[in-house]
Amino acid sequence: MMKNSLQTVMVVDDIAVNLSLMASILSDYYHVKVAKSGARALSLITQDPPDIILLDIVMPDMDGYELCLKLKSQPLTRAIPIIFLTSKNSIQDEEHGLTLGAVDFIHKPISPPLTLARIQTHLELKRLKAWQQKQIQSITN
Amino acid sequence: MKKPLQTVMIVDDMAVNLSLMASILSDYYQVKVAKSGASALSLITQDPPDIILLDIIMPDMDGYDVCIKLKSQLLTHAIPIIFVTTLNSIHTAEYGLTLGAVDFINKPINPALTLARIQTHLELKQLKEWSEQNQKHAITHDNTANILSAEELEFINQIFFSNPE
Repeated sequence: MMKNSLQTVMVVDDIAVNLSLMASILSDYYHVKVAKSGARALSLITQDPPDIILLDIVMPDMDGYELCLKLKSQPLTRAIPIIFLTSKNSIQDEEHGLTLGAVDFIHKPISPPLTLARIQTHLELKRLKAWQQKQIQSITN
Repeated sequence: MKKPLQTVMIVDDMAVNLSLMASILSDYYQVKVAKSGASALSLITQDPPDIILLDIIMPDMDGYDVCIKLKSQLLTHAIPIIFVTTLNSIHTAEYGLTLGAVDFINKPINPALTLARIQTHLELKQLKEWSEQNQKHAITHDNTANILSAEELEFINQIFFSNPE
């Protein structure tokens, strides 16, 4: 996989060891930002939107669902792909996450190659969608 | 959102799994099914689908074998393959990815997540094709520009050789 220093992954998890693990997996390929709470994540993401967000569901105060809802309600952050991280294997949780606008789920314990593959898929999809939009605009203008 | 032109091939040796998956997908896609690796290979080569959901554990030819064969053929190597498995193991997922699969779906399957992953990879495939076509178009356009300048060059040469002085 090609290193693309311009692409930023924001990892949100209240457990420091999970943030370290994820950062160690991703930092060879992406610029990694971390946040230990929903509120902190919301502030960092709004200041400087990342290309994709990996979001833990169970967190104190503001959980992953609530943060997802907030991000999807703001025009600045609405289009950022969100992948939920969860240790639960529940169909209801997954359906709820998808209805809130998440693009996928990654189950803990995570597989580094599968995590990288899913991130790459959604970053590529986002890049190609933006490129297509640009092409269409240049034709119609 | 009905996309009748997009075809999903489901490969599983258990009829009940094929029926379940077909019932989930048939509102959105044209669904084809195969009950063995050999039958899948034959159907896919005859008429390549847009995406393949491939069970791993099957008698005779397993999902890994089918994946390796499809990835080695020019006609089928670009078709996204999502493995469907009860083997909830990191090693299974990692091995599947090294063979060229794009993702995994664990059984018991979640219909919403299954549809989301299929849609993601179909959309990505379409955009990649669109991007390739646009690049080809851009290259053709550049070639036209080159041909024109070659014609101009020939025109200049003709003028030069018709005027020996």
